[in-house]
Amino acid sequence: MTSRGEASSSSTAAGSADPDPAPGGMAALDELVEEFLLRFPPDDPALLFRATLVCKRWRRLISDPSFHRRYREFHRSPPMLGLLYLSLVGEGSNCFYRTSTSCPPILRQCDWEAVDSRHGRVLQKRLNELVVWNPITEDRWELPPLPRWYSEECNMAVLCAGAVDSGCDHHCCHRGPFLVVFVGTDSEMFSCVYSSEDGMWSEPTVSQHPHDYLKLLPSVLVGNALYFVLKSKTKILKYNLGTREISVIHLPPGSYDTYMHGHPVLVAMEEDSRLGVVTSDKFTLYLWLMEAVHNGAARWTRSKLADLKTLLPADALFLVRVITFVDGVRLLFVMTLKGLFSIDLKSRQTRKLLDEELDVYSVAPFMSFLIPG
Amino acid sequence: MASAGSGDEKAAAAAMITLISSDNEKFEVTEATATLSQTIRHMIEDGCTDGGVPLPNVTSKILARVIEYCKKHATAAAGEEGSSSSFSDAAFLEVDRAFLEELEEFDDAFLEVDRATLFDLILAANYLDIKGLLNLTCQKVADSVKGKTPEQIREMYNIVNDLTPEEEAEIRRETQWAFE
Repeated sequence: MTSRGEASSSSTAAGSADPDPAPGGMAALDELVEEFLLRFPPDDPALLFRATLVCKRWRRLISDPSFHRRYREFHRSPPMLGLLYLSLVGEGSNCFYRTSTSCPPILRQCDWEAVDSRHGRVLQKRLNELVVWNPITEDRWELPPLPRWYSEECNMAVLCAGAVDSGCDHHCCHRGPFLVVFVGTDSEMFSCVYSSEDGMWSEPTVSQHPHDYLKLLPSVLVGNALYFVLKSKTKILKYNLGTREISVIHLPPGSYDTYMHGHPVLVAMEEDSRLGVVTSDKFTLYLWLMEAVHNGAARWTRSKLADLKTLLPADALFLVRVITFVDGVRLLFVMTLKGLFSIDLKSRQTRKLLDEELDVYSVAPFMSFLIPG
Repeated sequence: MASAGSGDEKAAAAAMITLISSDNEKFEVTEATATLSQTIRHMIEDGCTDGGVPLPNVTSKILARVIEYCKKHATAAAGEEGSSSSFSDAAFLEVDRAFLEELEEFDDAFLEVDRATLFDLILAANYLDIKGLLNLTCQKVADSVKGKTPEQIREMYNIVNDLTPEEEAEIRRETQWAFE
């Protein structure tokens, strides 16, 4: 097919004096195969899996840990493979929706509620039972009972154990140790941490009550802290992973009454280094970035994020509720009268993902690299 | 073009370098264009470019294309440095955006070549160590296998299948989802 003599230029490029007798094509570019494979898009993992079937050399190359490392470094942040969503329809209806071009089969439906997802793991809850699930390896860890009773006023987060102080880049930590942080706001506010290495929960730490209650919506991890949404919509909780202290942060003044039908949408911005909150005024969405905190009073700067009127179909502009925003891929998820939409703020493309009958109220994006081992 | 940097760099930008292809054709280029190649940059730093730079691995046909790429992107790099001080200025951002779009169009048109030329460009970019060009051309190859079966990839690139039928069957069984 490629009969021209690119082979001859390759042999000289490689510094050899003898012309390469092999016919052209890939043979001439042998040492550069890795460069091509490196550029396969991570949101279409099937491409690398199919490439392992081309020949032994490609298979070896792709399976090599050094290729895995280079691939992750090249693409920097893990791709979003899909989202775990919770709908109000059906008892604990919990499903996975693929947003990537390809993805291995991940659960279609189960009666466990996905409350959080981070670093390639999913935290699931059923009544008082908690499970950490790795959809890629299909491992499940059942957590022991919590050290104290709690009611529904609680929230929890799963994260790689290296997030606390070892500076893990979270590109390939989904098989490693993890932590689950649990915060409850009953008569007292308390928190405890489960460590997979210790296999047990820490003793509960009691903190001053925020006079507010936790809302069970996915938290965000920014820097060394987790942020949780409270029911009043005017404040949020900050959990410091290093000191295990909890503090209250006030949201931008006057912004709480513009959250339409939803709740403050917390987002991790700028490669998880800054906290943001998405608010809306009619169909205009704003992003508030937190500048600094002094005694619980945060300084915020506001910028326009998107104008939904120009992005959503006209018949969908009812009962609009922002579900989440994933800054890494610039994807905004919005529930409307016509169903769940994803809006790509880079390309301005809008896609309808789910029907309106499924009243989706919470979405946890699932992000992970998938490379043939 | 020499809008930024020290006085030395300004002087260097005006300097000309002679590149000599494998078939002995000479190309005069500015140092700003030539130094997009790390290989040539090192030669200049070592002071061994007098009398021209022989490039025995690159034909005149390919070198002409490579120079075309470097000229365009050297201008882009100079423009970027010049406007970085007024980064927040909306007007400058607008100019930058228009320029980036133009650059993207240039890159797209640049890649409209047959496979053999594309491979020669990759080898030249690798030898001359021109990061942007290597990235651009390798991405083109990566994109070309999208939606292709392993058989089609082998055919496209003259690769012999040395996997045993058993190995093939095993891979297919383990990752069936990737072939659906």
